[in-house]
Amino acid sequence: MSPDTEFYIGWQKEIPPSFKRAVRRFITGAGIAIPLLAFLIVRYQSGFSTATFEFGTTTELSGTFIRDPFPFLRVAGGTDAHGQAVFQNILLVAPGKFGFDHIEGAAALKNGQAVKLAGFLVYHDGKTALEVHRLENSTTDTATPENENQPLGAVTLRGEITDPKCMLGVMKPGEGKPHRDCAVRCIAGGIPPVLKVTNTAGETEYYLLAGQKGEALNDCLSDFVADGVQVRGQLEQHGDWLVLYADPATLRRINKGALGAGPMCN
Amino acid sequence: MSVLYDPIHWTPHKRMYDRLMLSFVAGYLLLFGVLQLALHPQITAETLIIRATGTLAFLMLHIILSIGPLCRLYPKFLPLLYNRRHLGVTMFLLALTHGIFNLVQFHALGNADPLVSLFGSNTQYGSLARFPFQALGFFALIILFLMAATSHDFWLKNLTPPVWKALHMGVYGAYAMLVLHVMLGVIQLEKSPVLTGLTGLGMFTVIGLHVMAAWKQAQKEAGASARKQPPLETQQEDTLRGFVYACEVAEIPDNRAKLLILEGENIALFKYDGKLSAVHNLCKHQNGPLSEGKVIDGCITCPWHGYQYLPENGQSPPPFEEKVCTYDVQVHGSSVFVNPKPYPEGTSRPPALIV
Repeated sequence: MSPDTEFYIGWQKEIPPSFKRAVRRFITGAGIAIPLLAFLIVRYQSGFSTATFEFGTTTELSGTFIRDPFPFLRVAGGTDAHGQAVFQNILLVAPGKFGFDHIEGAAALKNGQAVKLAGFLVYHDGKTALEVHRLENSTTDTATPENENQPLGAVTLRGEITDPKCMLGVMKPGEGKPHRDCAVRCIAGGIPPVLKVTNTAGETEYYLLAGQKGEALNDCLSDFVADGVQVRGQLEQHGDWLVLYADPATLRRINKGALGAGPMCN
Repeated sequence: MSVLYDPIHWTPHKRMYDRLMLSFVAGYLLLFGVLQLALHPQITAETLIIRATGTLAFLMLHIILSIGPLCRLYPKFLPLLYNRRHLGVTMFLLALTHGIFNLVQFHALGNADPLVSLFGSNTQYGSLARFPFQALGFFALIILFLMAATSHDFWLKNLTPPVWKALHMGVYGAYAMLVLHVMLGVIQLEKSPVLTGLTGLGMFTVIGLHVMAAWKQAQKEAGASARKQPPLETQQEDTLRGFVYACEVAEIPDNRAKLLILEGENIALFKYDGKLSAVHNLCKHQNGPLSEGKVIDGCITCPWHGYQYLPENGQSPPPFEEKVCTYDVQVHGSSVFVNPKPYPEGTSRPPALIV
């Protein structure tokens, strides 16, 4: 039978030779193209940060609870070269997409209270958060922590708003359009918003965002999450974290294709 | 053929088809995972699963959509079409895995129901750049689910072929939504033009093959229209009232057919055993082109899935029950004439004898 007169029927036992040759060519082509596509897709991704989420590894930390503007655990980290005590502020969040106060008993903790917490550490670029799973114990003693916050003056920053928990390593990527909905959900759940700023040299810094009087901005940021934004406010150093007391009226979108810029909150 | 509704009517080809397909699926997932861990070891397990299943499902959808026009352009690829529904169901399962992991990763464990979060976290439906691309993926997945769930011949029979076919044409809507899902989603995060280029290449491949196949089909149909009738004797004109000149007998190869489009009727005119019979061109199974089929063991055999009909009455041989319309045929000298008025499906009509 010549190739022109051959006829293929799926339920017959044998595939005619000319059909078999065509299918073989297709399979060979697919065998080359599909691995090549897999390689190109993987090779040309942006890659992922070296952020770490110690999922499954519980760490217990003792320190001083700081309530405002965001829940931190201030822990002693030894001494520096001058013999001065070094402290680290660890941002506190709850499991899932919730802020620290979602944990039972957390809302009752007072500023300056000594506490022992257990959970999974999340850290990246010198910033650390703790996904708290339980409050081990706390004393009723409180001591107003020494105010080491350093005002750094008024600044205008350009960056992307996301949530620090995912950004520090719970999710990869923890930023950008694909992560937008997750960041919206995390911020709506009480996790403080963070502004990720990358300078022209590729160096990155993170600024936790609060209102001008330290009030939470979570409820009015959802439309700006994952967009390029510009915002002005008073910058303050809180241990190893930077907090921007932002003026909502100065928040503007700066990315292309954005909707009309406008004030963040009424 | 569809006299019994087996969950899967296995044939040696289907088994081979599935083995090859699953080998490719497993091979891709394994290779993707190994490459990710080698080139980007910082990736999380969830992201790896989301990207591996998402890219593979999208790639398989391109292959699924390309098979149809490829077979129109080069019928030797027909074995790829034979078990395409298994390819479709597998693609849906991969897309479902991708969707479930995304829903859990981005929307679960929060202060809103995951489905409420899916549609309510990003409400920028009026902006192209900020459009909620995950909603597009969700609706595409619903279409793919409906197609996978109704892919069995039970649904084809009970929904009727036109309804079933219309439902399954929804794959083009799903594809359009998935292209946007990719372009408005992960492509906005990625910086490499390679990934945008690959998405564009896939889209142009699918569209290009469809345009080429449509062009070929249009050419074929242009040649199938009624042609100028040869001069006839008065006596012949009386017997040919209502008939239309179709072609010359020699134009039809033995046991093959010629496609005719006469007064809007899509007709397959078969030559076999010194006879000519005409039936409706579209197979009752999936509208396969019977005119591209062949007479085997006395039956017109559809090139797509091998459904069979007797040329004299358009009926599938017992115990099968499919039927197509039949038409009257006459031969005068070397010329063939067909009456484009169809008889009800399965009506016996005497074949025209070739003198």
